[in-house]
Amino acid sequence: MTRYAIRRLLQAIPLLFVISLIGFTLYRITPNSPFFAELALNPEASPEDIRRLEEKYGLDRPIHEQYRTWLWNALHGDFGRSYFTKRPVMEMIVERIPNTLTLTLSAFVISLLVGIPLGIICAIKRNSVLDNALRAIAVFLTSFPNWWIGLIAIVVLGGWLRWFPQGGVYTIGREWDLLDRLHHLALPALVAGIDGSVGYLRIMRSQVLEQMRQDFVRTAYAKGLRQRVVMWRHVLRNAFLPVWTGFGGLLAGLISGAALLEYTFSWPGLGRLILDSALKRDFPVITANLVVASTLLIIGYLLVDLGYALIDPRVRYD
Amino acid sequence: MSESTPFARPAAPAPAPATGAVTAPLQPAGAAAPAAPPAALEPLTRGRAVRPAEGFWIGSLRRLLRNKVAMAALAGLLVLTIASFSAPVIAQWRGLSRDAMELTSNYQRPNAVNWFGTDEYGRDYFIRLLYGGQISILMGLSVMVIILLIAVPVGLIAGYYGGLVDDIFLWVAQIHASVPTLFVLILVAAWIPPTPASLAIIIGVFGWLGNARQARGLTISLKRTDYVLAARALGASNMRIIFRHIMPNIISLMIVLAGFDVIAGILAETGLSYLGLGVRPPIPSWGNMLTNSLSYVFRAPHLVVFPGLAVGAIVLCVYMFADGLRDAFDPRLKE
Repeated sequence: MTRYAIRRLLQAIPLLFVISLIGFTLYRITPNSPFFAELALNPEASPEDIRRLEEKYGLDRPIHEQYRTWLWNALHGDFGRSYFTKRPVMEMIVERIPNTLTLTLSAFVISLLVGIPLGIICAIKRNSVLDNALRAIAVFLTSFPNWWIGLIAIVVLGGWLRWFPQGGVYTIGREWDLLDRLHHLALPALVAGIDGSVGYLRIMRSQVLEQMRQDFVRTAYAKGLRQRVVMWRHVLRNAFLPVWTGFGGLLAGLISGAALLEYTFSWPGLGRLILDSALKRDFPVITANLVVASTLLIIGYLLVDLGYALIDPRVRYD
Repeated sequence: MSESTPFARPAAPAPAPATGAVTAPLQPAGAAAPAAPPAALEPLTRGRAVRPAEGFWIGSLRRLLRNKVAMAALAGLLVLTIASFSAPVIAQWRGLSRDAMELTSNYQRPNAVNWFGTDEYGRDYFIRLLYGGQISILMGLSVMVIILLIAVPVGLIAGYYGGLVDDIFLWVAQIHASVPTLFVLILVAAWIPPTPASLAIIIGVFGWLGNARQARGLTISLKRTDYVLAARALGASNMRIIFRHIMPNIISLMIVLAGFDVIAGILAETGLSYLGLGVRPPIPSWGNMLTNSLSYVFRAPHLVVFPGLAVGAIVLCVYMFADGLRDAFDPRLKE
């Protein structure tokens, strides 16, 4: 299993290489440099000033040379400095990773805690009023973009009722107050989590129904086992496997979709950073952010696959 | 078996030689074909409406038409579409326009003149919402078309030829899956000239992989079927096998997925426009109408509510209709 993990990580290297190449070239092949965009309308900046800045950051050299330099530095842990904040790019990204991970993982946990039990209940009481109502709510919820539900939640729960803060990670001056951070986290995590739970409700319901039709379940009942035992020992264990498979996709959706929620909730995460850097054409930040976000995603997929071997004895990696 | 033969046609009876031919050897020579079927079959058919044989497409269509929820969703879609595209007429009738600003009467609550109130520049919100609907509907449809135009040929070719072509496909798929899609969309949307057409193209170009993967999977299983073998034995070229024999069987899967592509297109456009990267003002879209909504939400909460409800309504309708399509085209999937 360790060998499998190492092999997977080694396979990720060419992937990250290609991703960095895309992130690097995409913006550089267009003629206008970020300095041009920033200073073209500024009467105090002459074209020479812009050219001097471009030269300083090596933007006048051929792209493949620029990439070689970037790659060499990146392999030595130096991803350059932001053109605009002048801070090291990695520093800017590393301080945001915990924010994105907190939001993503808590949304993930909430969607499991809500979606799976509800899915099981729906399957056991299939076609009842409760089942139909829950499924109707689920369809209804998926139809609205989660960031819009976030907007409404901010207005109602944050604005009118004042139960939650309207955005941000902590109250200024109370950086180390855990309760305050949780208070800020609650609303975005709930919105993302409930949105994600809908998918789990659906998968779990159909899987449990599928397993309940199996012969071994009938055998278990015939042996005289109680429903609770049959459900826990026979049905849920099997029903959970496809749910686990879906984790990879959900993780991708959460990391990616976080960009919209982060924007809505003024949450300083990676998605927010990529938006800001794309608008400013802050090349070093764009490239590094894309690479880091992809790395998180690749690690996420790997963990899902490794976990699969833990919960399903039929799966072996070697 | 020479022509395209959708796999789901087994219900269609073989042409003529039903009972007559089978019983013929038992009959005296002259009385062969028109002879009455054996008496034992009589009670089964008498007085019973025998449904005429129908093909796969007719059958699916019939199932779809009978699905009340899907038909209601279709009606809803038609209403939304007609309303959106008659926006100029409605605007003229109401004496309002899409872009005319009345700064003295901004942030109006919904009233008799401005049904959905006015926005921060005093523009009529209802009319802007209708124009925004045009963007959403066109975006959903064009993204769907782009996705299908890329995904179907790619999936067919990768699945049919396998080998190196397939390896390349899987490699691209793996890269695509390793990058958060929205990050790429944000980067590309900020990079290209912002027009609705270019937006549709990038959403489609970064959205076809799921469909292609499904098409590839089905192609791989179809290329091993007997009728493909038969077609090859008859000397059909690869292209003929792919497009005449395999593709028709993939179409029904693609039709089902197409509904979900429309939803993906609408939601991606709305999200990007909301971030300020999609459709740019003054062209209204349901996404960019919400861009700065938080800054004035306490003066005019209705401005946040309506565009979101519109997105939800159209996505819900497409979703219900796509669900109906899936039930109609693949009844086995129905629980």
